[in-house]
Amino acid sequence: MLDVLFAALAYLADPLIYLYILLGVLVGIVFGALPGLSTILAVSILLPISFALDPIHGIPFLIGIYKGGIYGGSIPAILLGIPGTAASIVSAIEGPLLTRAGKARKALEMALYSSAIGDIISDIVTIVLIGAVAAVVLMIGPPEVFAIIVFSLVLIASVSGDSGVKGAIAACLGLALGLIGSDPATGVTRMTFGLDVLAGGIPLIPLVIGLFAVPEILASFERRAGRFVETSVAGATDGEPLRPWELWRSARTIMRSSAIGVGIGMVPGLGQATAGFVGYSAAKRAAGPQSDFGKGTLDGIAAPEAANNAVNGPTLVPLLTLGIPGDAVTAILLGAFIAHGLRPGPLLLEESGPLVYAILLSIIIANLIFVVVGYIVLKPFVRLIQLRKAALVPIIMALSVLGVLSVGGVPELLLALVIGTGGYLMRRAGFDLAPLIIAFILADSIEFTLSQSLLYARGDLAAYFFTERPAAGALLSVALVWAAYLTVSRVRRSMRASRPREPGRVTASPDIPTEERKKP
Amino acid sequence: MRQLLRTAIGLAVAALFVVPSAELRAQEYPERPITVVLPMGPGGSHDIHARGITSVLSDVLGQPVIMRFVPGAGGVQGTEAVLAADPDGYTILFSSNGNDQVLPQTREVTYNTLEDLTTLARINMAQPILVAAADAPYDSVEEFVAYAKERPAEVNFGVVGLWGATYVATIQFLQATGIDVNLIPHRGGGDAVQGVLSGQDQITWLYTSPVKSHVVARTMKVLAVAGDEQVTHDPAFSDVPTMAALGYPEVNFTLERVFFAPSAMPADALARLREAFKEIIDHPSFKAYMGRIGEPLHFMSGEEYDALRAERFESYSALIESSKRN
Repeated sequence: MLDVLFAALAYLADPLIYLYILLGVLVGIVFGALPGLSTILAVSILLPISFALDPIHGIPFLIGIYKGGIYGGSIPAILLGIPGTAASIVSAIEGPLLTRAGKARKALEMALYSSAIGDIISDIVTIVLIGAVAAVVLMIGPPEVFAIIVFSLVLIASVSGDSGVKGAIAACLGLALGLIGSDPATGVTRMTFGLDVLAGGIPLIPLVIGLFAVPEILASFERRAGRFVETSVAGATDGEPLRPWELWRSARTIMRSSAIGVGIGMVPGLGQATAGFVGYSAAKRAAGPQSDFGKGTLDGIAAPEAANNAVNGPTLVPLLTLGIPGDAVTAILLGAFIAHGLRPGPLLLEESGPLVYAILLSIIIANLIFVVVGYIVLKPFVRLIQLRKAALVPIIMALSVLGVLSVGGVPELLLALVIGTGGYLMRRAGFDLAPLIIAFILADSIEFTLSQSLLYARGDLAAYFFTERPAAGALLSVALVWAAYLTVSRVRRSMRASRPREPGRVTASPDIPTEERKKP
Repeated sequence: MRQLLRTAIGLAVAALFVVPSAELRAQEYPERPITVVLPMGPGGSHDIHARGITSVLSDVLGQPVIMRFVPGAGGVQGTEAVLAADPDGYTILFSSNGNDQVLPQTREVTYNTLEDLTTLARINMAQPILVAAADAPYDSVEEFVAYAKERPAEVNFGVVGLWGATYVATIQFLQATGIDVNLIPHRGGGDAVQGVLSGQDQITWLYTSPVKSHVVARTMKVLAVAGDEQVTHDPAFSDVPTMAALGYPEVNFTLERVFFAPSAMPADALARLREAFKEIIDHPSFKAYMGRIGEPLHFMSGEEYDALRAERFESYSALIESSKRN
């Protein structure tokens, strides 16, 4: 192991590697920051460039794009509430609240550092435990994936919003939207209302733009304020930087989210968006009901950003050790390996061990480059967001339209508008859209893994889950008991609430941010 | 610096001459970039092939070639996207025989594949191989069939894609051997590999590319290759028996990677594209690329392949009908 690592270090003496990572991170941030232009698109467009390069240059280049892309996606999520990529959807919950309070710079820096920390932790775990991770990945079959998804959804539901019923309605709507398209088991198109644009299911980008960009644009007309940032600023400023103690206070959250991300990274087909949701929900639970979650807290940025980046290391493991890509980006990376004559699989470590470790180490270095680049590009964005709405909103509208057109045509644009109008009305009616989007993202996996489990069970589901796959059975039981408990306690609470309200229930004043109050 | 300046002036002068002459020859195809639509997401074997092909194709045609991924509905949406575009020869399709001849018979489509699409070239073929985990209690097709017959409907048989990737070979195999199995669908070749490696699936058809390293590392074993030809492009599979030699000639599905274009396109564009594909096949950098990705070449011209399509389409009709009846 050690001699392989030393041989790997020899590869890393090549300065070109860092140049390509730098280039990749920059391109990634731009693609990620524009809503609709996804990281996958960037990676697949730039693949021909990496094809011409050696693997030791080409693959870190692609990984740089990937890393930059996730952070780039978090920039509009935090500033405007419009996620640039699916991975950064959760940062759109607390981010805009922080921006409005004039803390955009702190939030972006928190996203930057927690992303890098989460990623580095996951990379180290991956490098040290690559064999063990591969063994765990192999043990996670369809029933386990199904159980993990159900458990994650219960966790997300347990902290989402005050109204359990509205959260459940949103989640069911998300599932229903996710089922539109082709039935994976029979190939029959279903619930498309005869519309061609829906035959392949609702595409993710028009949905995200519809659900986030359209309501934000409409809301920006509603609010009379001339700017997105409410605190009066005399001229554009960079804002206050993140203080070391603020980062330190989120250390526990970052560690928890990194562990969650590493775990979810091992589960095939879940990915960054899910990790972000679970990381955020776990942090919100841990913080308790009196916390600032939902009112704009830096912890609410650290939690999803560390979790969605910590997915990166483990998703490379099945790719490198088994030749199995876990998601769209690793599938493209697999292509890049093969095009260079390398065949990921059980022999890759034996045949080209130093190269593989050099690539893994270069990912850690990519994080350091990423922090520097991310820090430099952050200030212009902070200044940009302080422009008048009259200047910003048209730009946002143009970018949103462009984003939808990058994956489709006029039908997709109309689809985004219809979804957006629905999303706007739901928000006005007090619905939390987070359960909707996560249910939509997971609908396909829920259905597919359940139908696979049913087939493996040959009709006897209970026996299959509890004798053949006890881990899945146990997790599923815990999730169901928890869901039942949550339902009962919520019903009780609402019955109590329907009685005359008890006096003396004081909520934390949202006017004074916690940071200020706790400052020594 | 002076060198650079001189080059720049040279280029500018050249441009003065090039622009009018390009206008004069305005009718000559191609005069702008060509889009290749892949009816699937990025990352699969078609993607890897297309990267090599498009880069050489743009050299041959003198125009950039852009790849566009249009996944959805098992490949139907990408095909429809090509047919919805202007049939001017600037939008072509990189698809497969399955998408062309099987899918339109198993899904609702808005087009008539044999009439609406014309072949530009067949690039190569991929033979499905029957694989099991290395510790499976059978070493041959004969032993597996006996094993499955002792356990009716109990053997988990992995399959990729509904009437896609390895589905046809699987149905052919089940009909030919008469065994009753528990068919487990997977979303991609990777998931099917994992199914076999983790012991959840006892057997599956796959292609050589995702399986090779597992066969060499002896974590998987190969029982047979579909059709009547042995695998020749890769020594790791050279001693694998063919299904024909084992007495099942009807298990003969082979995946073919084929370029199509709308039949309504101009004749000069069709002729130029077909010619270009012939040039690609002998292009040294293309050959080197195919060698590097470990894929064989089985070139067939568009004219030849078009002549076969109707009959092939018919041959799948019977299989699809009989599998529906079961």
